[in-house]
Amino acid sequence: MLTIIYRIIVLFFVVLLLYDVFKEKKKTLQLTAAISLIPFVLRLLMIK
Amino acid sequence: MKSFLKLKKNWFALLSILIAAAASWGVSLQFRQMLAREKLFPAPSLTQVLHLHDYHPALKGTHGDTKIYRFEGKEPGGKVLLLGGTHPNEPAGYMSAYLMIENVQVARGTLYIIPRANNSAFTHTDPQEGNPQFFTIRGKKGLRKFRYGSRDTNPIDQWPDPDIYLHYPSGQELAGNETRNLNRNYPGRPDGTFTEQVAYAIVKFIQSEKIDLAFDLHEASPEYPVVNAIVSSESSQDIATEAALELAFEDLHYSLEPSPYNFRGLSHREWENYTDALPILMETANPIQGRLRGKTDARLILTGWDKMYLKAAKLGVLSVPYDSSGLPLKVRVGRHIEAFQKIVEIFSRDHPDKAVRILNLPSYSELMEKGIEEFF
Repeated sequence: MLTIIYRIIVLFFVVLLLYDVFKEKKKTLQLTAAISLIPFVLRLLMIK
Repeated sequence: MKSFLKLKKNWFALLSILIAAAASWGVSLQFRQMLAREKLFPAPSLTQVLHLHDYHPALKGTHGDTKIYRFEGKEPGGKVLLLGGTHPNEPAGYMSAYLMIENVQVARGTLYIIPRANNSAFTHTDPQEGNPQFFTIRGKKGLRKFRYGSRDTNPIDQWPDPDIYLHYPSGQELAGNETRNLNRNYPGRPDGTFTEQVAYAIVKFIQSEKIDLAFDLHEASPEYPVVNAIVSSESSQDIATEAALELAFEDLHYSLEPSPYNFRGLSHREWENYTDALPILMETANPIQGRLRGKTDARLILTGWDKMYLKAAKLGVLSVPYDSSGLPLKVRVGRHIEAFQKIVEIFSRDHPDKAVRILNLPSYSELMEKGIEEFF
């Protein structure tokens, strides 16, 4: 149960970061948000 | 048209997502490699492959499930269990188990081998240690690649760690991360944490199969006091003492350590308390686990040679002899296999009705002469 809640929280951050990638105006910030996605995606899929 | 324009406007965002996706894919391939189990070539005398889930069905399909190799002799006799990989960052333990699986022949009695006792701990590597993920040996069957894992269960399988780990059933308090250490979780419980369930399944296996003699193979850093040691409980101390004496005649020296009554959760303590098996735990000295080590790579696993340990030996701060020849894997595996054979021999002498006769395993001197490669 705890893991499901954890994954929902991770998914929430993935959505926020994705939103950020598209909404940021500066290219460096877009890229930063995209790179920040990597550990969240790995966690969401329980790979790492 | 509008959406096309939006896409055009966001081309950099899409490119960033693609870069992140490619990086995630590449990294995940590397992490997935750690989940793969080594290909073994069991000796022709293998009778059956069981699984831990046969004794605790809840483990089926999880990283906690692991193989149990059963070798049964033609003559009836006693039952011996050998456990490797309780801590997958202690390679002499599971490499000894692998070597036995690929070479052993049992003439009398039954030998069970669990080479990856905490299978989940093989699926990740300790963070911030700089440890290699794999090491290789060019054996007779080709280039063999083996995992170097972690001491504890993968957090993917069990999390979060509590601040303080309370051992069941004693209530003993330990550091939070010990909740994922298989060798602090015995006897375990069927509805407990992931690691408690693995421990429970192993205890259930020992009880169900009526194991007479059970080994748990380990390694520790050369500065740790319990190395080159045989740990025994009340019921196994006689055979351990006899074995240590006979091994000393072969110039293989072991310290004898009694299993503490009040240190709970350890294999030797809880197998003594909850099963009829005579428990034995053995330790060799492994520099890659030590705090004094320098460059940490696959070479260090195989050679056990480290210049900082050479300095430490000169300063007299190590618990084992250490010189320029290092502590190669063949020495560490050789010690485990020689002591294992000696203890089984003494057990068989003391319990003729439950004797176990194991053949085709190399002696310590044979391993020193031919190297570990000859047996893989």
